[in-house]
Amino acid sequence: MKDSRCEFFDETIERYLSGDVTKEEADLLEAHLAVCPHCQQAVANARTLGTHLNALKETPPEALLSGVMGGVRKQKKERHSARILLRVMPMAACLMLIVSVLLLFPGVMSQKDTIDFDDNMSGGLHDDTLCPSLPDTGEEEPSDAMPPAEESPEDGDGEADNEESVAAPEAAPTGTEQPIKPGASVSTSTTSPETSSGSEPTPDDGDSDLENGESAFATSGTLDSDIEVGTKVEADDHVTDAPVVSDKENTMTDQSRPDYGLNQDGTMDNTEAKNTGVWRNVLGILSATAGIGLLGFTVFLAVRRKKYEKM
Amino acid sequence: MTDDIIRRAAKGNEEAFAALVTAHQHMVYNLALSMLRSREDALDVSQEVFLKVYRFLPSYHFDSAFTTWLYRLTKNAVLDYLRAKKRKPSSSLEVLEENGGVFRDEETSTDPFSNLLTAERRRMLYAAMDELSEAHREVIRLSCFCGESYESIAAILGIELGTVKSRINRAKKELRKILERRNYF
Repeated sequence: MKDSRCEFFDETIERYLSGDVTKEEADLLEAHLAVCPHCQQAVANARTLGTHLNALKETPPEALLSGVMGGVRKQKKERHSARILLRVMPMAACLMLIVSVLLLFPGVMSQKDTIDFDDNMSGGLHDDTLCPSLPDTGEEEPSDAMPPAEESPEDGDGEADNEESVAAPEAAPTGTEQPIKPGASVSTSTTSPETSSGSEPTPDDGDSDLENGESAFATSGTLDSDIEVGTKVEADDHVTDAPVVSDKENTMTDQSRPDYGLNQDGTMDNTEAKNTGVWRNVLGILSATAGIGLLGFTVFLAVRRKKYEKM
Repeated sequence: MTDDIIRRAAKGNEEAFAALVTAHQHMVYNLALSMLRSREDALDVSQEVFLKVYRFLPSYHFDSAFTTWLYRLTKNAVLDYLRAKKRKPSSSLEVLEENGGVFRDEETSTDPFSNLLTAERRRMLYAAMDELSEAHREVIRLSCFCGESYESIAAILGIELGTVKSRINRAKKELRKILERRNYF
């Protein structure tokens, strides 16, 4: 039966069982326990509770340690990869940004070396600083075209006598042994009295530079309009004063001339250049976007890493 | 656990870290088990706790006892886990029933002592613990579940040794009273 002392001893049972009582307290309790079944039951219950509470704890499974060490190795690999990424990505980002600048602003690198080609082309050749002009003597400017031959008063009967080529004023107007230069019209000074008389000239007549068996094409600017441009002229043909050019030099036709990208009206056709520029800009923008994206991602990774370290 | 082992583990030494885990896995696992009341959940959380230890060990500067740091990590990990699963730390009996866990007879562990308790008895013990105050519950967990000494508990909780002893005695007395009322014994 419970009495008032049970309340008192009830408070000391857990301390008694954990050994946290003085000797006097222990003696008093033991003396009470000898005569109080209620407190004996209380002590028994307290002992059972202690045993049962201890039974609640368990041994951790083996999977805990193995799982943890597996995760540790995985983290090590991830850290290593992250370290490499944080080193490589900024460099890649800078490279992409440099490429984008070079693509979007191509004049940046070559600005100092660029010559103002247009200005030079339009005025340079006629610019006094580059090409002092010759004093104006009232004469016509020399041209490559062969001037019309002048009739000699002595040849009133129609003889043609080309003495001199205008294209090569420095050359002695011998008309006999003049070498044929590419692009230059060469006179063939031939006097062919037989022409007027109707007889055929012999191959040795005249001063033609064409050797026997050679042929040439008549070019423009011939005195005699009988011979058309492009007409093949043999060495032994009747040649008066048609300037000839070796067929070795004049093998080009209009169809085979290279296309310099000229429109019908003579202006430059720059469609291709425009297309190239557009693609360059597109690539430049893509490159810049990729570079900025990479930089942003690098910053994000670095901040996240710092945050985890601070935690 | 010597400071040397902790320092070596902080530098990435796997053997030292394995020794650290072995020395403290009992406390971490049982603390998680007492709060979650499920062996599967306790295993998941314990692994997560030790992986966090590995990650943050370089930032541990011996300001407090290692077990204190570990206890705080474990408690926070369990609370985060419960928040994620939207469960209360001291779950109601309905939630425990739903969870099953330690209260299913077929889930008895290999530990011989734990087989003394039937599922029903376990349920009653946990239910009685839920009626204690958090302070009493905490000391019961560390003392009975984790097997920590009074001195260690004092260091972990940052209280006096005498306070630890009196709290444990009062907590056990309250549990006994609750269980006697419910005819546990």
